[in-house]
Amino acid sequence: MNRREALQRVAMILGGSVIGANLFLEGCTRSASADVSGLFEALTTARLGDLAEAILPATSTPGAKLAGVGEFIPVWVRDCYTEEQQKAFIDGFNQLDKKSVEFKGKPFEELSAEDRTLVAAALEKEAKAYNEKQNEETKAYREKNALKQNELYHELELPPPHWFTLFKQITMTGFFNSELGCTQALRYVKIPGRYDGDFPYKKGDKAFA
Amino acid sequence: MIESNTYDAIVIGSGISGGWAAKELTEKGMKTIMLERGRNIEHVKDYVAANKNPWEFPHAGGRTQEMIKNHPVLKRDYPLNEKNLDYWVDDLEHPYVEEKRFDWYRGYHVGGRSLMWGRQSYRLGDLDFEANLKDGHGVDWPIRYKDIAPWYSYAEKFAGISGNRDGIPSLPDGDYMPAMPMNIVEKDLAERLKGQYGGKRHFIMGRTANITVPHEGRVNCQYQNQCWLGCNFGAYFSTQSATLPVAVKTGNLTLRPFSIVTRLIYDKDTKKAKGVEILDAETNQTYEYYAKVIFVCASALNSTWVLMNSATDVWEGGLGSSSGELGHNLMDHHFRCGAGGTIEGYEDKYTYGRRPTGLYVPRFVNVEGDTKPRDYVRGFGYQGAASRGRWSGEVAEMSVGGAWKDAITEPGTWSVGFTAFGEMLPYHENAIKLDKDKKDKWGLPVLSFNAEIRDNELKMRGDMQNEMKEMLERIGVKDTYTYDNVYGLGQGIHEMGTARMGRDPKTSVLNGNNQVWDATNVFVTDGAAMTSAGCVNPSLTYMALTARAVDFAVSELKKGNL
Repeated sequence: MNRREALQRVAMILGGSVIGANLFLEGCTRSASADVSGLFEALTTARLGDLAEAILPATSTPGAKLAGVGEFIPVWVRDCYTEEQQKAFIDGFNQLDKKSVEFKGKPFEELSAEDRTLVAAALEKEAKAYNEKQNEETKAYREKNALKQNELYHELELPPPHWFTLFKQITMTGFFNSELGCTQALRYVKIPGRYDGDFPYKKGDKAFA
Repeated sequence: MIESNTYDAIVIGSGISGGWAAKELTEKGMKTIMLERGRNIEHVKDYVAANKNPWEFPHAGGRTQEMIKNHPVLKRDYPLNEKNLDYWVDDLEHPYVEEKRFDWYRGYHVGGRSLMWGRQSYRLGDLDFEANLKDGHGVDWPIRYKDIAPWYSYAEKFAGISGNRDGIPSLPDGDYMPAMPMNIVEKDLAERLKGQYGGKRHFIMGRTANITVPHEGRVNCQYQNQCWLGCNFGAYFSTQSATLPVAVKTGNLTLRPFSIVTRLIYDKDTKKAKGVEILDAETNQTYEYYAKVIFVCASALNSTWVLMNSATDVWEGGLGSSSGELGHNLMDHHFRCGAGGTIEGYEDKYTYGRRPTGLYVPRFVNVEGDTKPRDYVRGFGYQGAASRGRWSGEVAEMSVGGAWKDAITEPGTWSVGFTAFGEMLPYHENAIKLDKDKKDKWGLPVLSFNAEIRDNELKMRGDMQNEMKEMLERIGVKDTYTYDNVYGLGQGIHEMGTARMGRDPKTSVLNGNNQVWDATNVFVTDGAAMTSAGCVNPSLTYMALTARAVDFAVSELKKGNL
């Protein structure tokens, strides 16, 4: 099974209208690029941005959506994830409305910003429990293999974590590497010019990017 | 036209050692050709990523599945990343055989790994030069500290090493420009450590090849800490920033990229190499170049590869194999373990600027005054730093949402972390050889690796973690932890040995002047020459050995001895 077939199978498993099916097929022929316009339907990119925003909302500084995390996520998912991670991510994200109804009684888009963040918090809790259980299950395997020094290199074949953990990781990566994230949520100085190891700090000052 | 292919000197490789050889030879009036197997990278102009901001990398500097697929070796550690991918070798085009795992992270381009190196620059001392003789591992170094000390000074003054003269017996001082400063927490920890250990253990400022004052037309460090992308200010030592411009200025240098040296052309009658044969990596055409002296600086294992492929009609195992040691005694520094913790207080203190060096802890085990019994020989040093990172947010009850976001955009607590770098012994059994059944895309045989860390290193790794944890606890660091991230041989990117220096042609490949015993106009001055590894970063030693060997070679030529 080649990559294209594998991805088509993923799309089939998940049903016709899943996010990312056409994106991932595009990914087979396109090289890495920041330009993903046309690969995602606007709604889907917006939905990714909305969940990212629930994790890192606008406060006195811009939130994840304005910072472009909704556009960053599909590039990352397309190029940086294994097929297993892609499947876990898409499968999970497609459960968002179901989870949203379960936790707050309405589909995600119909919730207030506050309630969206509460849905994210509930997902975080669910993810933590899921990951802990999984860590426990793979512990013996990991310990046994991690200590095999000086052998031919091989990677540990571990299942992906809970999809929300994946989602939160790339939200953080995307946000803190975005222009607004670096320059407004944090302090960014491209060329500091000097080092001061005794630099004054007062509570509320932002960290340097 | 044979004449146009004739030079006074040939330098194979353009990294730290090759660049130094070219500089020294051309400054002494030698018409020199420097052969580099890869492409050219031009200073500043080709440092594309150096100008970029974090948001200008589509994958935030991370790695894509395509990168992982195409780099089965690089992916094993940090070298595989989006930002300087072009500086690392194409693993698929340059295969090798791992009878046992060996992580070989290479840079095939002008400048070699001088563009990506860690820049920590320390001298070996007699603790190191006498080690093999004293404990019986390997063979005795043919030189002592006094032989190389003036050349360390010479190398430091030109390269521009910033650091302090700390006066520590196990770590000789050098000729430095002003050190980068410790931060307020590091200063306090260093003071406390001195008190706790009666002045026998030290946190000192890392000595680094980043200049802190303008030097040789280069601009001093601007504290971006992105050296591995190439520096537009030329603030760290590299072939491009330092040695190459000097060599070019003499008018005596010819630089030829895309030139894979396939063998030295050995002359049985004169018992010397009269030149080299190269394969043009782009056209597959073969060329020959001739010279009176040849400096093999192709990086440790590739220098040995060149010797193994040379004079095979005389010695089946290649030039230098008469010793039985060519390809043997492969070493690296083992690391990826250490200790750390958190520091209370200093909430009103922070740091500005990104300092491209940190703290260094010179070796304190198995040195004079170390009274603790150790179940291993040799020792280790540490590199680390204290810093105030972003708040991790781990303890928050709800780690999503606005309050949490604002909290994680502020600095968190101060923490300190150290990684130990341990000496690896020279074991004859740790070896590389040519695998003639496996060829690269140019039809050249590839190296096969059979090496591992052994009992002495594994025992040392316990102390490498526990000694630091104990020190940190004694100076008031909280929440201390040890770690061992498991080390794969080669990950130190300090490949050493395989053509060692020695006192006897029966047990070593090179003599005390880095001449191949079996062809005295061939000099090997990179990591291949190392007789033992020491525990400090080795590149400064290659610079000093190279300058010393060139001085010797040119004076011998003038005397008519070569």
